[in-house]
Amino acid sequence: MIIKQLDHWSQKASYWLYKFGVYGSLPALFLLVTLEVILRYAFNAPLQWSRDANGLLLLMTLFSALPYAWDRGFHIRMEVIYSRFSLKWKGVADILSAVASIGFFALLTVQAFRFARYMFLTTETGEDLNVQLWPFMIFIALCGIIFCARILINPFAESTHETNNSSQWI
Amino acid sequence: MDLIVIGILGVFLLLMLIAFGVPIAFAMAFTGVLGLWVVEGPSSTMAHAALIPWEHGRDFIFVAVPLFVLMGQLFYHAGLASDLYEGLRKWVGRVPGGMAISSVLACGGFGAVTGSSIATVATMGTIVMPEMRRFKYDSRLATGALAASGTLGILIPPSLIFIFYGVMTETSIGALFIAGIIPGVITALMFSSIILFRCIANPTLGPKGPSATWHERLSAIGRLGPVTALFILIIGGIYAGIFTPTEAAGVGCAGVLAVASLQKKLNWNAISAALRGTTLISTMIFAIIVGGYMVARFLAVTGLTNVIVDTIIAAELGRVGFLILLILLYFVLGAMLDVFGMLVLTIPFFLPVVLELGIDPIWFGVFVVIMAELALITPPIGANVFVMRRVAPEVPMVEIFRGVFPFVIGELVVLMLLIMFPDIALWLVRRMG
Repeated sequence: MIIKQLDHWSQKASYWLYKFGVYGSLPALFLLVTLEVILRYAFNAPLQWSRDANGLLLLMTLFSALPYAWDRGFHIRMEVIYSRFSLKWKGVADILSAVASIGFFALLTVQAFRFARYMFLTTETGEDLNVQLWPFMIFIALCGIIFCARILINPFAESTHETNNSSQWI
Repeated sequence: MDLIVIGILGVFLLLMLIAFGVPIAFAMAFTGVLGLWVVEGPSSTMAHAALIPWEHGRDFIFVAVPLFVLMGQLFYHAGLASDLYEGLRKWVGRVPGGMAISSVLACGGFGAVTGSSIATVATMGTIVMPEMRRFKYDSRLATGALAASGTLGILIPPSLIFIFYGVMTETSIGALFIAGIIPGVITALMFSSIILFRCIANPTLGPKGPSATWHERLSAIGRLGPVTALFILIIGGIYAGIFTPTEAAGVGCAGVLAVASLQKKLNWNAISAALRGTTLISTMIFAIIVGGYMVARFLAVTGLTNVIVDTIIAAELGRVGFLILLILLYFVLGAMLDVFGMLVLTIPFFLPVVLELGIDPIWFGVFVVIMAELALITPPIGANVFVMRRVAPEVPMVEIFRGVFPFVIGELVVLMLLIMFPDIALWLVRRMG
């Protein structure tokens, strides 16, 4: 029951995060970069804070799609040997994948919360953008939690059943 | 335990995880954190685990990745490529193998906007293959030419692999783009010559296409306008020092949107598909770069990177010997790994050697991209060949690989020329604004 609930909510969260990246932060990133070029070259009035803002939008775009990319099996893997494994060995390999991925993201998540607390206490802001950075660190930590939840629920990732998705834009 | 031994064990663990099918990004990140935990302790490791993604995820240079991917995806999903092929075919369609030559040139033109090899094959293959079937082109020549020409997408700027290399090695992406132009043109000419000579020797391989009047030819120039304008805007802007690559990418996206709107080919479905594809691809590349940095940090701490550099230098292979060794290594790795995996596993080890041997990192970027091109068309992975197979399901995979073979030889000749005359890549870079 708990696993079912976790699956339901983490899948929903993963999907909405991805949507936020696709239709929110990525278009905003494109518009801001283009606007900055127009203001710089056409009006000689560059936005001082645009680099900081671009960086934060990029960060949100990249992290927001991480859990969904896992579910879609979008991360590159070497399938030459894996595809020849028996079902039992494929299971072992999938567990290894899950352990390796959680191993990194669990550390990232815990440390991101710690850094967020530190940033909150020191009221750290961007260099040119006068916005506190701790909410963005919290955002990373939340993406990390959802990512770990997706790996726990779906350790096999769909890629193992699909053809090499990851190579589709090289 | 000796740090070097820990480093070697780390490399073994990494290779084992990759062999077991663990996503390369996470295999590297996990090896990195585990190794750093052993060598430096938990607090430093945890700081690295959060700081590396935080710093690189906000890097202004990295903003170029999603924007160039978006530009290519918009161009691809809006279906702007057919005019390009039609325009070129009117000019060269009548020479022996003219349609295949048109497809090589069109792939080069498409590559000047997309930066993706797979998209180039998929798009051009869909447009050109039915025509080549209609004119009874030899299926081996037709599929081989298209699969090989698709690789021009990553050599002719803008190129996703150049951006990836530039971000990983902190080399100027603008300079890498400029360095790719002449090798890209030479490769296109090499492929066209191969087709031309083969079709002159055996006209049944590629019969002449339909003739075009001078009026049709002149009006076809207009069809090449959008791609030419975008290329001049992006690469000209970078070359003249007007735009940074990131700004050029933003302007390029706006340019593709404007062209697609003017041609009434822009719709919500195309934009949505482009945004979705861009987000996933950028995330995948970001994960690999973060993993690469983690493992590179670990290897640097153990001193293993220095040992490798010293060993290769002590072997006195020299520049050419080292590069030939790399060509062989990339052929082996290309048979097992995806292009990004191949690069991310080798660059942290070999870039220090490259610098030590006095090889220009920008030139090395072009070398690496040509090796990536070869990996895309050689068995067993040969991603372009798999895409070509989807476009032409009636042609067996073996036939496509055979068709690609003359172009592999051509590509190796270009590589040799590049090694013998490094200025092929560097001449334009030195003249940059």
